[in-house]
Amino acid sequence: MSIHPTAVVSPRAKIAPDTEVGPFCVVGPDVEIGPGCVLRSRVTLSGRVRTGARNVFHPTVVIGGPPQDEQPAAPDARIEIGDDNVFHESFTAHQPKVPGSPTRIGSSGRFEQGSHVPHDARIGNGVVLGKLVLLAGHVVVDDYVRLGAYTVVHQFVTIGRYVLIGRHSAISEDAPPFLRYVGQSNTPVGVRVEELARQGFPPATVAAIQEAYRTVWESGLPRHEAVRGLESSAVPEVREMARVLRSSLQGRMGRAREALRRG
Amino acid sequence: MIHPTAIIEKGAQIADDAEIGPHCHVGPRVSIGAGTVLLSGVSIRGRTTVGRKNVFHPYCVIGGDPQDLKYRGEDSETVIGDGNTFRECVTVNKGTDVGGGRTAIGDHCMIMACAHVAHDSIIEDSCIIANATLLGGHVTVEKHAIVSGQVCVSHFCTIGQHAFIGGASALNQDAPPFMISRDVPSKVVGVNTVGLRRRGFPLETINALRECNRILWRSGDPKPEAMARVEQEFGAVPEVQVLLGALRASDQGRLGRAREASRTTPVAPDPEADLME
Repeated sequence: MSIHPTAVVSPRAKIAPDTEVGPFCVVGPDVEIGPGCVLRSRVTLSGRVRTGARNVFHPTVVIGGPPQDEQPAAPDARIEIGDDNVFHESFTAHQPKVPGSPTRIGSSGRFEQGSHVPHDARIGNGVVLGKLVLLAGHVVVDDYVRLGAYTVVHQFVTIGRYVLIGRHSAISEDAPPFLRYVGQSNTPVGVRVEELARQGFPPATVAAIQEAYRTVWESGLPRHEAVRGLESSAVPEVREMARVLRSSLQGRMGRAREALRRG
Repeated sequence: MIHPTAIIEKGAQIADDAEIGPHCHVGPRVSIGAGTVLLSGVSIRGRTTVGRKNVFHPYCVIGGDPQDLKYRGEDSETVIGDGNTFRECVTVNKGTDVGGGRTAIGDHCMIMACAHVAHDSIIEDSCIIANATLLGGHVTVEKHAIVSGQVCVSHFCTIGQHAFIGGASALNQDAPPFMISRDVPSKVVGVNTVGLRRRGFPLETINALRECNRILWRSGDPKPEAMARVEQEFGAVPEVQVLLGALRASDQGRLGRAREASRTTPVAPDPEADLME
């Protein structure tokens, strides 16, 4: 373990033997850092934070601040981070305010400069947040989602796996998996055909997803009816799209997780 | 309480119960009031007065030099009231002589992570500025306004009291008080009814403002006629007078920005002009 002499590390912090803590870092007493992590310099980890292995924290990353909300953090608030993530400069992640569940970041993610994981968010594996991407509270981002630079996500939104949202977009309704979004209209512009092929989805599955996309957004059918058609599909990926669409239709303002809103 | 790794320059005035965390840097002309907390790695510079019970999260830089070509190193200031929260990596720049020499933030505001408050901006009490929002120079944000995340506000714009600005918007004109504005460029889309109800405005006032929204922004009537109709029908409501006053001030400034009226910048000399003759 190498801890730079200018770093301020609580003696109660649990730091794996081969972790590097660079100059001017601050590590609080309830922080647990897994093996092979690197805190480059001026990284602050405070509150209850547990990270897995081999995460890299670039300068001025701050993880573990209280929620940006009028309500305080939950008494048992904690942040859990998986393995192999890279957090770039000025990345921030905040404690949850709902008791009993952590703010969670999966593994193998890339979080670019100034991007933000808010209170009560759940981020899956292999997620990329571009520069200054802003997620609002309670957001769920499923595996392999890519959010382009300067994208804003409304609170309580759910983003399905493999969704790509182009730079400078804003999204305020749940986004079903496998789709591509650009702009501020909450309407997808297509299916991530190439990416799904690269990830090994069989061509028949990709074709079924494309057909489902056309049924919902290009056929002119009422949304309820279109989703009903998808629900009886033989392709599990299409039924997955239908599940997100159905729960988003049942939620308020197109967001299933609105049901969690208190007060 | 001052952490041993913090650097407090000679001349800085720090109240007895202020807390200065590790690796903070406080310049020689900074005064920090009672109960204020600098968590870690916070840098407060320039001629800066910070009131009581503020919290500065890691890596805030307050009172830094303006990002403005007109700035020539003048002795301008930054003033911060009481009970504000500055989240991670927020930057607040000091004023410029041309802009009045002062950047000011009132009481009980929340400035969220990575937001930027540029030179000569004024933020009144109880405002919320969300993540990565950019207030250009000479911007005014009036009391109780909420600016969502990723909003760009052009210089000299005013955001009226109790206004709400939707996420990822771009303002290049004033945003009227009591209204929701959003989009690129921003447009009025309705009355901030949720905010007004939360702050206890009576239903009659909210309904009057709703009517004003209909007349001013939905009817398609020319602006002067619409304003005259609002004055005639709802002029007795004080909030409507505030709204009309703001709209008139915006019209009197240039480009729909009231603070343009106070702009004293001479027309910038063209550095390539003599090459052209």
